Amino acid sequence: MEAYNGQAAPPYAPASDYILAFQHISKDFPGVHALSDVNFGIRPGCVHVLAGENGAGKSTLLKVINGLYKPTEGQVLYAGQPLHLSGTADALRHGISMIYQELNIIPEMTVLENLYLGHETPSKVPPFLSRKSMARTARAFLAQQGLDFDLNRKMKDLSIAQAQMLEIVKAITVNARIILMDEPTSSLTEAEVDFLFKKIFELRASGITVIYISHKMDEIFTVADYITVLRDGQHINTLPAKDTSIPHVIEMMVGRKMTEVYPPKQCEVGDVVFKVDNFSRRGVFHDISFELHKGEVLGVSGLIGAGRSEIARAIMAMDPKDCGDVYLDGKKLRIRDVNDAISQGIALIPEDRRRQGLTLILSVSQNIGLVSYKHIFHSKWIKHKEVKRLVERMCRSLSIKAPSADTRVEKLSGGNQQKTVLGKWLSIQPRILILDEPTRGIDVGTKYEIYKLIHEMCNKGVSILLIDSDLEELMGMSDRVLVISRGTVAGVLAKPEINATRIMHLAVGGTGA
Amino acid sequence: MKKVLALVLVTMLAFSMISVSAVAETALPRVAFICKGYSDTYCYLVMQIFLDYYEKTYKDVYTVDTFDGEFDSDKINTLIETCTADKYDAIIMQQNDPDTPVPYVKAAVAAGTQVIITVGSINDDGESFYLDADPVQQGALLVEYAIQQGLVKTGTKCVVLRGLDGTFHSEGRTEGFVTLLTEVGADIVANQTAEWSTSKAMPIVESWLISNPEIECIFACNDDMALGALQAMQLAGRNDIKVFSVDANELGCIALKNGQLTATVAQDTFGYANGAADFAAALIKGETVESKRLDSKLILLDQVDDVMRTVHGYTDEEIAKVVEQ
Amino acid sequence: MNTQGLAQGNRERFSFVKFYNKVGIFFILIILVVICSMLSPVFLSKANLMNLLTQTAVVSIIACGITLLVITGNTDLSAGSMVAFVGCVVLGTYKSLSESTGLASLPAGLLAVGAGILLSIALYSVASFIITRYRAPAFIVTLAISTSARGLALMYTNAKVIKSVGKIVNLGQGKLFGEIPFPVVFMVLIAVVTWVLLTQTRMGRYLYAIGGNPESAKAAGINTNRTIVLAYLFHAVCVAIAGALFMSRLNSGQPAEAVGLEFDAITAAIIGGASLAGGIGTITGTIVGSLIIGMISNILTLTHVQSYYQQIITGLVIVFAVVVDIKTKGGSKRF
Repeated sequence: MEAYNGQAAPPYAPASDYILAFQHISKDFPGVHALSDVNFGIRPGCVHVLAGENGAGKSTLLKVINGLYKPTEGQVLYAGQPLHLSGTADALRHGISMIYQELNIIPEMTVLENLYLGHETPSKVPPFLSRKSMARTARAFLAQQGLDFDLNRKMKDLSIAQAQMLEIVKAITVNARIILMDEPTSSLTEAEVDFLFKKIFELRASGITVIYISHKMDEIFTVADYITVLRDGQHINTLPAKDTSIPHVIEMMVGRKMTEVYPPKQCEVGDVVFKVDNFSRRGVFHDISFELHKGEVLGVSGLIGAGRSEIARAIMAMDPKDCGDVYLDGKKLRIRDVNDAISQGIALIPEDRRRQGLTLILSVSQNIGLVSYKHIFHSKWIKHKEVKRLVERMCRSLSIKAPSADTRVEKLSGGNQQKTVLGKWLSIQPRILILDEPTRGIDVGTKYEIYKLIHEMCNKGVSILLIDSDLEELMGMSDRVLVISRGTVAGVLAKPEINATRIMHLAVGGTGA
Repeated sequence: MKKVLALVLVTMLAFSMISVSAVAETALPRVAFICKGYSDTYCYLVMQIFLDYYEKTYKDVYTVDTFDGEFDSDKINTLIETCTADKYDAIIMQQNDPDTPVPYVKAAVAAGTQVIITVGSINDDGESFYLDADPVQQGALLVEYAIQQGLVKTGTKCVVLRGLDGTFHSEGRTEGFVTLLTEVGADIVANQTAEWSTSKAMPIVESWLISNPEIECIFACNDDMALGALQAMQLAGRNDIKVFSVDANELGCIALKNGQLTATVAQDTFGYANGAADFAAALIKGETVESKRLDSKLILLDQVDDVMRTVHGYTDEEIAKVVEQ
Repeated sequence: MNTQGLAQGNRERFSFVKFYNKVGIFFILIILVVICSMLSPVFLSKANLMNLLTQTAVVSIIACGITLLVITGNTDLSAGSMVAFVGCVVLGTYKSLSESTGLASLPAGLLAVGAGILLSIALYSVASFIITRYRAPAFIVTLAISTSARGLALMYTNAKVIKSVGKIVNLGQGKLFGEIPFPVVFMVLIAVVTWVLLTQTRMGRYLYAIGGNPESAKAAGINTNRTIVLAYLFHAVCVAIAGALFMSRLNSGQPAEAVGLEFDAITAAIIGGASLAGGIGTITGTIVGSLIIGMISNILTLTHVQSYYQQIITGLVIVFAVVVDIKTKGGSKRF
């Protein structure tokens, strides 16, 4: 198996050097080869990053390690011995612990109960549990880790970051030797990411191996000792981080040279077409006013919780507002509900595609077609042939990779799911497109496709509101940047003024200057 | 403000409790009538007759409150308990099961509440008083009649429709049917429960008419199930089968008059109802009563008019109209 | 079964999963038919098959409406009591109309059935309003309707049976062209209409979307409350017709009958592949599910097996159908 750069893959060192060694690992699902003949090893006490596009097989490999999947072929060696796991509980017993990307939390459980789930301390009178001693140990442990949680708080009241932190601490409490992390930073703020890395280095220092999946290049290089690149289920290369670079890794991931991360924007920005005036909602946002030009990408920046998504939802009438008007082409729009917004040409790609953007158990075709019946075909009856044509067109132009249009969306990768959401909303040809974190949890290759798509839309005269917490991405894509701080407009930056420091300054509440 | 409100409410509550007990002391003795189930046509009928008789005879002797046992032994037991706690002077109840109410009835009697069981009896060693009939006799009456008329002999193909399995009346009547039918050498080709229900009996008989078209006689534990059988027979065009059932309820009598039902059995409905009222009056006065076994009667065309008049309150005009339809 | 693999030219090994995904619950139905015909020589006779269809008609009609509800993630525990109540009202109304006003049987019948439908719609409007507006669980609200409807039925009839109702009973007992019982005709009609609603109309798509992810449906501009209420009203019409048919087959209005029909209907939908979590279900599946339940009852009666076995076997069939369904849909966690 040849690596991208034409050289033969390095032969793996003797099994004894590795805590985990993969030998000819393949994993097949009906119609899909998720992993094909993967051979490499993971050294103990390192942070080993798995990089690759969505569908490359990273999550699948992690699930094989965790005992969730059994390899169709090949074997895994754990400290030199063949590893046969009967399930995740068995993996835990072997010291392999996983932090999932889509956190499995039970909302009504308290922090204490969740911490000890599966390995509660029995009291002297089984089957009762010794609450007091569990609480004591937990408190001490959390303090030791630098965390301060009320043990009786319910899981649903914690933020995603806090819940994640708890998962990591949980893994540590069960004396894991190997901790697997699947995209752990997708919902964390910068401060929380720093804290996570601090923990990871502490784990490494104590001899625990961390296997980490991420899409974010700078993160990868901050944290990795070794990087493994997978592509289309095949192992491309495994290198020490210091022997490679971001462009090199991206090349290996997509199989071609990526000359630029953000495609050049060729479209001219026209006149003002869309105006939001004096949007207010007590306690959430106040006096929000801005304008959008034809063919423009207006980036919306701000800290998490500043209220950007709420403003977007208020424009769509999905959330209420106390006052505010919306103008399109100078005319005031009457938007009483979501349908009004849609029929007048405004569409929103929501922040959480799984919860608000898609119906997971329905097919690609059913998801894409959902708004078309009313807004394109204007009929109570389904025009099957025409819907089919529409769906095919969207799948083609967005390059949605799925076995068929009837595949359930839940089976698609994150990137293809996002494209399905885009397909749904682009089908009605909106004039104003609001994107809320459009590339979250998506691989580099698909991200690029989405950037190109955004520019295509601009060329067609669509105006884009881009809410993005990825500063790099925001700056690379926007013509202007609107900064929201604590529910108010902190400032608007024209192209030449856009830089990270300025944006951050405004976002944290500094005055514009 | 909250405290004042609380104080006012508590005072009101105390006042109402005192006044209720004051009123209660000067009122008539109270009797509770627990009907087995309002949706059981026969039991409901017994209750209605009881209430009519009570209105005419004992209105000044005691008051009556009625309750729905919903066919549920559990519910009935709860009602017995509640009425006991509520210090009723007597409870009249229709029997649903001979064993489950026993501890509750014993508790009631011990607490001073007399208990009268009608349309059946329970196994409580004489703590309560009963007005009972023998369900086995009811079933036997029908088969005896059939044998006497030559409708059932050795080799006659018969089927049995049982009521709710495990209940006193269903088990008894089925025993009545089966014992005698077996004795005479009849061939019982099928024996199923239709849970007392017309709509459950109908598809069963519909299927039997196809799997065993040779059926000659159908013995049903109650009229409602016989009606379902009759419906099935009518839709299949089979008027040759003889149908026998127990209850002599309104629809059953009509079917008998129209020649569809061959015979039915009437329990001594007035005996059950009026007897219970009489027992209650006597016990309240402090007299003793003796539990009775009431015989059921075979109802044929000769007797059905009488039943319709006395039990179902039909006028002669209405009876005449029945045949015209 | 194996001819399927041969027909494909042996390109791939015969895959049971693929086969089941295509034919689904029909597979189980066919197997059941084969078993039943072996167990009883009269099973496949015309008379018995007609009986079978007639006997399952009422439950099938209710199941059509319930399938819509289950797809949206709701349910209805009141169908049985409503059938009793509405059925008695239809018969009682017909009887009063034809006796006191001397109206001819057809218009009287139409009026009576119309009254029943309106009554059913009224009650289910209340239920669905509470369910959508106050986000009360459908389970609880329809349970309340169930007990109320039963009480109303007893009240309406004074706990007596409505007898000698007249020609309206032809609704349940008559036959189209002298051959096909009306209940079967109605069953087919309603099944077709429901199928069209679910697969050919926008509203059908919306039902699936709401059941699959109500938040996402709202984000797509669907008025979820209105759609759910409409589903309940459609179901109300189904229940009313089922009630009229049920009572006319019994030849009398019996307020205490029809207990538990809702569970038979829900079971039919589940066996047919619907998911109680919402978003999944088909009418063809539901009808097949209803036939399967009816068949089990039918064959056990024909072979004189006691009815308690019927309950055990039905339970086993449900588990079997559900497990096969889950396994062949790729381990969906929708239950």
